[in-house]
Amino acid sequence: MTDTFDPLRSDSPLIVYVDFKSPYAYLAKDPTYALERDFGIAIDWRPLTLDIPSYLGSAKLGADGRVAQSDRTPQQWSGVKYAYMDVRRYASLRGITARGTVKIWDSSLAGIGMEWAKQQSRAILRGYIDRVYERFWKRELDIEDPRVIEAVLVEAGADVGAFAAYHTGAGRVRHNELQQRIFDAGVFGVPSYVIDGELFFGREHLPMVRWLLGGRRGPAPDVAYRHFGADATT
Amino acid sequence: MSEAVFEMVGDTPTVCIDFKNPKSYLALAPTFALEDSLRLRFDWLPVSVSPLTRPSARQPNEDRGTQHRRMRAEYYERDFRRYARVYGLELGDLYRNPDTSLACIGLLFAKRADDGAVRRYLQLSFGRYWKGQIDIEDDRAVASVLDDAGVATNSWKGFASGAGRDECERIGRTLREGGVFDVPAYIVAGDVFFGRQHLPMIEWLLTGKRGEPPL
Repeated sequence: MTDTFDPLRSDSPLIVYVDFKSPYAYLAKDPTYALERDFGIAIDWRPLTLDIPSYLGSAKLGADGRVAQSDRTPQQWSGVKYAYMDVRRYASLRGITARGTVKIWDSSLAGIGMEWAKQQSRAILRGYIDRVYERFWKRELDIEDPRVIEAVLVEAGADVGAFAAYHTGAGRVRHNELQQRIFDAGVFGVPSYVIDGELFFGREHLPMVRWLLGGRRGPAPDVAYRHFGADATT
Repeated sequence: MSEAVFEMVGDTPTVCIDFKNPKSYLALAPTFALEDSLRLRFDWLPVSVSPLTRPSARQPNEDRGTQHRRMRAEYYERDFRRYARVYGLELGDLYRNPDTSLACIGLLFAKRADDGAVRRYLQLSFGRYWKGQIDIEDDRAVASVLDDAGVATNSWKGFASGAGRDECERIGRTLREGGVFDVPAYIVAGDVFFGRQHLPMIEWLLTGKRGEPPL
């Protein structure tokens, strides 16, 4: 199954890589759905399980909400603190709750659940993605617990009869193998958009992605966190 | 962001830039466009931040963190260049790390001239630096840019070696110590935004938060 997988190619005109533990990917979710709606396309949603400590250090909060353990440099902390502040200001404008996480989660199981949902139907995939993101960022979901992930799949309408065997067997093997190939292909962060083999990292590229999907009409746009209405053309 | 920064910039929408940083160069045109659209002028402040890190050569058996940093740096170089093409800009070596203090002092000097001088100076200095046409460590070169921007340079030498240098160092130190670690940094309505991708948000804030907020 994995032999035909190409990290930068798909039958869909657009690949989107997301990770449930990334608040930036969460913010990008709905504007990305808008591309599906506006262009009538089926986006190829793929999980990318970030290994955050490898590039941003690690940290864990104690019960009192203070940092209990950390190997981050001051520069890494500056970047992380700014990122969370930035996420919260955009999230609050859209009524999205994005509480800071207490640790760096292993989101691989949630990603395997996403692949499982994707195999069933697009509606189930969307139902799963929406539920996991919303609840995880409200700190209501333990995405490392297989029973929790299975329950969300059920809520999204998925048949989970064989999910336990999948996530401990073929699904885990596939996940681990594909993650390495995705990373080796140069996809290092989320959200990442791949169109015609070209990689765009971050939702600020949505104007460019939209322009490319729309046939490059008009001048090429710059990066921007821009609002898109149903009739947006930029 | 520290109180000292907000105290320094006051209520004026402010943008902090670094001449050696391509993201500052790429931000010029859209920021000027926003100024024109809103009929306002940002206060342009010079700051020197860490230079971009040149991607390391691919190594056999590199660890994941090293591979990540290399791929990220390679990606950003491609990204800067593709958006430079959008604006028809020429980007030379992205990783140069000159002493930009004279160019910074030049900006402060231009701010003392007429209203359009800052924009002309920024366009000329950034354009010439990124095309490799100017040595921004040479005070005669910076004076020449000021001349071409229509700024009288009679007192340039004294300013560059005296009050201008002190002011430049004070501003840069206040910004860096206050939390400006990247550029362009927009300081608007008591908040800081790193990157020109925030311009829709800045426009929304400066126009009374009317309509749909940016995403």
